[in-house]
Amino acid sequence: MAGVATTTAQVAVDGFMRGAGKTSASVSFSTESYDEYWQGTTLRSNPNLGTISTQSVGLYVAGGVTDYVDVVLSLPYITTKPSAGYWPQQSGLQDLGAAVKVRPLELEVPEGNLSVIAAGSITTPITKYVPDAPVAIGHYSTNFDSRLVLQYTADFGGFATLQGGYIHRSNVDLDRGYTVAVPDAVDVIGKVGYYTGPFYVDAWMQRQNAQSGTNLGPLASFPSNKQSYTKLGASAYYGLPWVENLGISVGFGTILDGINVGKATRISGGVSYGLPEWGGM
Amino acid sequence: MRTTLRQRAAAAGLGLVAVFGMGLLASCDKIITEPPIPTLTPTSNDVSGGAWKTYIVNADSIVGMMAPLDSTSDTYKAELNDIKQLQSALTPEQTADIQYWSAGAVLRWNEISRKLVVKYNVAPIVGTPPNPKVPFAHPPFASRAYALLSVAQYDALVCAWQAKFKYGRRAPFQADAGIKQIVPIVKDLPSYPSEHAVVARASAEVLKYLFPGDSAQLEQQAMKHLDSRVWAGANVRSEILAADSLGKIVAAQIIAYAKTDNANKAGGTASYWTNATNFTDPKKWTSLELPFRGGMTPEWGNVKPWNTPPIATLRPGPPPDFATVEFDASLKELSNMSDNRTREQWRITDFWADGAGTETPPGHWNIIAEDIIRKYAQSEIRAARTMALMNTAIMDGGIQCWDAKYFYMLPRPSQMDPNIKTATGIPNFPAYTSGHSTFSGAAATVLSYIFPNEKTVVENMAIEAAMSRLYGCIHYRFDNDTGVAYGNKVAEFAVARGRADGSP
Repeated sequence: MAGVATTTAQVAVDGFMRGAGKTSASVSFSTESYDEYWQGTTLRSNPNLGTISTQSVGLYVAGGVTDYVDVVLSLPYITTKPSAGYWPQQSGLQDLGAAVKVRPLELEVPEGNLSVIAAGSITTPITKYVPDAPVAIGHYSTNFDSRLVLQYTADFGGFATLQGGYIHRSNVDLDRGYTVAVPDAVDVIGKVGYYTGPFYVDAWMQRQNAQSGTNLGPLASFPSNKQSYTKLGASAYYGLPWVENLGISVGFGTILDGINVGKATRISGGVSYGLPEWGGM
Repeated sequence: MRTTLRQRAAAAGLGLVAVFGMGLLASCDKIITEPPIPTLTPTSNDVSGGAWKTYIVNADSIVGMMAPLDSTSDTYKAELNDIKQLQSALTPEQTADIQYWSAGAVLRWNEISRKLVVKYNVAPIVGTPPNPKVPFAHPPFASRAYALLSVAQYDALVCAWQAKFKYGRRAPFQADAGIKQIVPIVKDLPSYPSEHAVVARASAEVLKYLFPGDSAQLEQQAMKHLDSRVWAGANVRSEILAADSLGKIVAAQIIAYAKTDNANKAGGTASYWTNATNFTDPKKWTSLELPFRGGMTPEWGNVKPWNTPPIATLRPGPPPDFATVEFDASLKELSNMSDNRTREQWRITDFWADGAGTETPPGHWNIIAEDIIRKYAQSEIRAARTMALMNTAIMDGGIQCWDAKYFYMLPRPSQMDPNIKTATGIPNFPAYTSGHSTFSGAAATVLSYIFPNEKTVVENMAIEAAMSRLYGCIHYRFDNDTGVAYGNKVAEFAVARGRADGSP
């Protein structure tokens, strides 16, 4: 069931700064599905829904305003549908996201450097999609995410990132005629990776813990559910040598354990393009 | 359950405060609450209420056995002194209880019953035997729960009103100037026996019968309600105790009636279930749930109605035959709706869905009635009469509708065309006629009779509730039209009762 996909909007933030005047735009395609989900902490399936599969196309633009400040925009278009039963497919533009990253501190440390980054983001729905249904593309809350990112980048190209954030989510007015609180969450991501020349690769683990909320079931709305999960993933990027400024990426993510979420696996692929540099401020 | 109360722990967060003009919110306590309901101040005391026609009990014989304490007796004076003492040491919790219950006894217990329906409106796992401690509070069950509760409240209040105006006992704050009204006490309403306590006891006993798993909680609520009226300065203890006994007597008679209304047999016989799992006739309804679940309450049509002649005499004609142009057009309309449903149509579907885990459509109409009762500031007895007329009409409507459902066994639209996708869960019983439409037609008819100024509003609500089932693609248009029409028709018997019950 629903809203139990990891469709909760979030702007991905990493530990690298783009650099003044540098902008990249990427389009990614992802597909995700699950046929089992946790109701509370119990893993189960529902033959009346079958497998719920979700496809999304995401637009992601990240640019450096200065060497110390990045701005990020994201906008996904999502389609989700069940393989059984009578709930209809849902699709539409989900939540527009905007983030600002600043790097107040970068320290030279042995064999590399250490960056300290603070980031804040907001995501908000831009279409009136249906959030309170077993098959839905999002929660419809406006989310405020603040986080700290620490990254050690070694001179040989390896890096390790640790980030922790707090996501505040607004209340949602339900079609049923009342308003529910959408749980806030604490989010922690650890990542290791390596890059050299046009190649980049990483592996990451994310733990998101909802701070309150209901359990999936007839006694609760979907947006009010407490959704927590541990997710493992990896991604890679390759800057194409034969087309200037163009790169391709692939990604993978799978939920290992959770509460009120689908046991989903996602694969994605995308292309990125480096826009002309404008020099920054 | 219109509001979800949720206390949140203050957010920890990372303490990044408004770093980039992006307003990183520090999340404070996030509580969604309704404003408190003010003390009920009725526009009339309905002095003739003791003569109004009851449903089950004989008010004259019950009231004949009651008499208040002599107001010159030492016992009575001691009771007045008790109030003064209690009032001198009220805790904040007691004051909150006084406020809470002063919003109205009938309406508070109606609200409590709705919360119980919400709690128990969860379909059992397929294959588990019924557990009387954990009833499945589906719409027919709920319609009966609300009807039994409202009838108990009403009959109990008719008795109480008769005794009140027979003895004309002054309220404690009038008998002793040292007693305060912590909340405004209804003016010129004799205080023996307590109208609050009689409702509390009658309600609690009926709800314990329906929801035995919550008996302890219900008793606690009743005791608080009883005490709150002494703390408030509204009643001396003996006025509460007399009402408590009266409430018990009335509730016992309502429960005795309930035990013989056939609801306990509505789940169907063993032979029904054997046949039910063998449905292969595509022209007959079958469950669309996996695993297969037998249809809900196949014999609800045999439950005893409150106001109507035998229900089978109110059975509508058959739905259109599958081969007809009319049926085809109805199915096509839904196929179109499924492909082109607007967001607003989805919203309406969801607003009236009142599915699992809610107070059900009958409960939704109780919420609507509650708002109107407050708007017109009806007295306790008048509010109980409104609820009893409406809820008995709703229950009768459900019985009439269920009779048609299992007589005709019409498949749901998605059984006829699996490409018809729904905006709400598909109820696990036949389509014709629509339960929502029947319940709503019945409720709107009674409310229009009692509140003529609200006629347009409630009729539009009933139409929207009916249409919501078409928008959701779980009912054909003719299910709705027939449902509303028969809901109206069934409710006319309740209206006829209301016109003849002696109330002005």
